[in-house]
Amino acid sequence: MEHSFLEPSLGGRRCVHSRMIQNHFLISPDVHSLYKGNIFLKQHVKKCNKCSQEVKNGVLFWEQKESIIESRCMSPSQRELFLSEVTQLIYDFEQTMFATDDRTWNEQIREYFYKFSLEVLSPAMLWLYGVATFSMILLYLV
Amino acid sequence: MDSKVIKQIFSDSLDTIFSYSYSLVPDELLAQQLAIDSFTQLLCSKLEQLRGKSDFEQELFKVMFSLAKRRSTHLSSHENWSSDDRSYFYRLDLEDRAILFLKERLLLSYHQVSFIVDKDLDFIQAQHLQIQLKLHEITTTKMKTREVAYGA
Repeated sequence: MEHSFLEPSLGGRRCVHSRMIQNHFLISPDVHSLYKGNIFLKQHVKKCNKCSQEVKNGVLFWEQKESIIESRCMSPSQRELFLSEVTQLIYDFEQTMFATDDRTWNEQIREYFYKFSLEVLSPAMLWLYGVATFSMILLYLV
Repeated sequence: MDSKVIKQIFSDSLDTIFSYSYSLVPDELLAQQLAIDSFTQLLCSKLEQLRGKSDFEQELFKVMFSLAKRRSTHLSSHENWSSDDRSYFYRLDLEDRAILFLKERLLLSYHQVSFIVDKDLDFIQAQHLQIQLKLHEITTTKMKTREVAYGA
């Protein structure tokens, strides 16, 4: 499957594949101009998670439509530093991730747990299950 | 935590992060998205509080599990993750996959798993056992079905 991404200048993320768009992972148009990585600058929307005051010069983390799950108060200079540091880290994280060969993850997990379920599990588990059941019965009786 | 240190940590932990992400949402793109969003959320909420690689990973795994759980309801209608072409592991539900992966693949302690999945220690210990049995049952049932099909 070929993926294309929106806004390469902002870190080359956000696939425009239809599944993604329909699953609320994209930023709604009204806050689009404020988009910087995944962090939004808003000065009047929510209260700070920590001090419960209205967020001024704060940062808000946005997740799925209008649900904001993190907000904090900061001084303007703190905010600038925070944003430049965090957005750079996010950008680096994305770049590193996109450079990896993700096709192997599935195979690794599949293989590992298939072997696990066949080889490791059966004799050891039956024994463990027996011990656990016995212990639970014993605890119940006591 | 210094951003250089964080960068080093996530570079070192990349395989672990994404294999865990994939175990939660078995789709390459969604797994990437989950990892990025969780990483972002963690940095926004706890950048100054992170202490070292182990702390970073645990906190990140916790966020990833929580986000994956929230998203699973949106995504379940789009993709049938328990369909036959997936491995038996993906027939387990999200929480079970997380517990099994953290315990068996990443070899974390029950305390660490309990923190990440946000459940009591006792529950995790009991559930771990149950999950292994469940996986064993799925595997053997599937194999028997296959044998019958081949036999016929």
